[in-house]
Amino acid sequence: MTTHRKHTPQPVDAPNAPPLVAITESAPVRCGLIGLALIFLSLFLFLPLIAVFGNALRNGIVPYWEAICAPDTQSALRLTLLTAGVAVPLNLVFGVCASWAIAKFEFPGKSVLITLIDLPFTVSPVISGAIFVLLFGAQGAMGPWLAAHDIKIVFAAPGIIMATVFVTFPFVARELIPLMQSQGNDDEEAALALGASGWQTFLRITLPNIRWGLLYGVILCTARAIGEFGAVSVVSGHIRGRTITTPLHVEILYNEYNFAAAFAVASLLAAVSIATLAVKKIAEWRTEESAVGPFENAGTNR
Amino acid sequence: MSIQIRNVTKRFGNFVALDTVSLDVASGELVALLGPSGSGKTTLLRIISGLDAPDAGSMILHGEDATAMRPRERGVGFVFQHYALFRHMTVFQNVGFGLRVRPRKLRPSKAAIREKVFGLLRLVQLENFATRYPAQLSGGQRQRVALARALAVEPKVLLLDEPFGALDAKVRKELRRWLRRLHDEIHVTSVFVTHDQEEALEVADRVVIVNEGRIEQIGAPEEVYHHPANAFVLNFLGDVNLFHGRIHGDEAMIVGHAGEEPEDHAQHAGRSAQVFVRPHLLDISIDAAGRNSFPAKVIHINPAGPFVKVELADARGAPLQADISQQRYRELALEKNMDVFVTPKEIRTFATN
Repeated sequence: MTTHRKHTPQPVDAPNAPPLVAITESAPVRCGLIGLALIFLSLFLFLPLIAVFGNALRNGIVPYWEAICAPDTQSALRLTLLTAGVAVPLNLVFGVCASWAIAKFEFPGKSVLITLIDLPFTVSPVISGAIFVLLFGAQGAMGPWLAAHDIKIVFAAPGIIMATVFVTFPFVARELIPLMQSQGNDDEEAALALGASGWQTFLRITLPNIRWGLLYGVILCTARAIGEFGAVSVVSGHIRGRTITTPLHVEILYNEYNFAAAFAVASLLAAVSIATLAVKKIAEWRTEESAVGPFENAGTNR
Repeated sequence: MSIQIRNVTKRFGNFVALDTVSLDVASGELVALLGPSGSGKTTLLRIISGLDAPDAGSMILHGEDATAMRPRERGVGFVFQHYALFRHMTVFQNVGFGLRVRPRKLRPSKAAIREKVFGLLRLVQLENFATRYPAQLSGGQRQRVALARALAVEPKVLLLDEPFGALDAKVRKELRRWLRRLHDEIHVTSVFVTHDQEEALEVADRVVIVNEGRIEQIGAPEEVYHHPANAFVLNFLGDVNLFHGRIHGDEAMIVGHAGEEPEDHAQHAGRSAQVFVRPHLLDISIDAAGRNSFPAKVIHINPAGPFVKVELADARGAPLQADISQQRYRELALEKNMDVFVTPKEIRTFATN
């Protein structure tokens, strides 16, 4: 992090600067590239999105509304919200703790911890789910003990939540570690030297410094927690009205040839994604602002 | 408040940052820790502040053992090299931070904090900047905010890490004179770290020269400048010409210059020594001026500045530097590639082992 301002020479101000046109591609090449990108995006992104909403509303707004209000849909939505509601705060706390430890301290095994945080990204979601079945299922390592104490984890809400926590583990930590590392310890040390306690330092200095990065991580984490299919599918057991989350419900409706209802529920998930992207974009702008060396923008403000 | 550092050692892995360092700072003194990068001066400052703990040794603040005290208990103000201003807070909030985080019982009222902060902002001449954010300030202004913030908690000791390091030359000069005046006004015991000898000599009451984790010399600026304890101190406090020589009784001979060499056998007699001559104490003349003169060739002349800086090469091609007055430069009518004589007006020798 440098604090001195940079005076980058502006090429246009330089005498005898070559015309700017010389460094860009010719018009046909530019149009070609942009066109190609647009066609690709339309085919693979916009078209499916339109198809989801189009199919959802194919029979009009009333069947759409009925599909969403159906008891099974409602219970799926509730379970999804419960799962996200537990998994996201857990990973928020874990993510902040892990990034704090990794960015601010040196300890043996640090690189191992950083690698382990990425594990859920590299493992197939099916395996993520299977781990919990193997651990807590009836035939699993802890199965008999759990059965004896009448605790249901697999094929119940706790298993779904655990699988979701596992899958969404890295989002917050991955976002915060580089941010906190780039910000260094100076602000925290300044606060401590000024007499702040550790907790005051965290609340008043660290948290405001990472707030946009944290929000960004939480948004991604939430989006994944709501949309997770693979791992949840393995541990869910597909008990209707009890262990069906929204993405699983979409699959069930689709397999029952109830396309309109399937797309109606899918449109909810798609809407969540679009909203997430919008908030994410805002958070991204703010993160960039706070990640820039603290005073790098000084020149523009005077 | 006085500071006593006793045999402090600090290691980072295999690297010894401080090697049994002892230092006394009297109450109200302004002391500079001067040394090259990596010499351990910042580590020493951080140990005084409590941000780092020594591996061995102890620290006494005003007669009380502070080795195990946390930073908040020590009553020190720390100004960081890059200021570490809280970027999400205004200048006012930054300066008031140390007061706002006090436990409820010790916390001044809102009005008292306001009064205190504006008093400090007046002191650092930034009253009109209270609502600005750090990003909207220049380097020198940020520096002064950092200072006001450190002073707000009424520290008994003020510690400054390279306080002017990130500023441009002109602002740096203004600000260090201002710091000297400020210290004369408020008289808080202050220690600052710098690698700039000019800054240390100009601002400090006493200069502590640190090298490779050890203290080389402690003394008033004129003392360390005119009576350096060893070759390192002399070398660090300004430019020097280095010669290899020998000491015979109270005479020093520079080896390899015809004018100075006694008979051959004498070259191997006496103790081997390093002979230093500051560039402004090396005179240039067209003809030899006594038995201390030796020939040299002018390589480059830079007349821009108060002195004319002349680069020369002696008979063996070793580079020399002489700073002569503009007047002398005109008298001599020096030109590139001229053959001249140089005469040390004053030398300093340190025996080598």
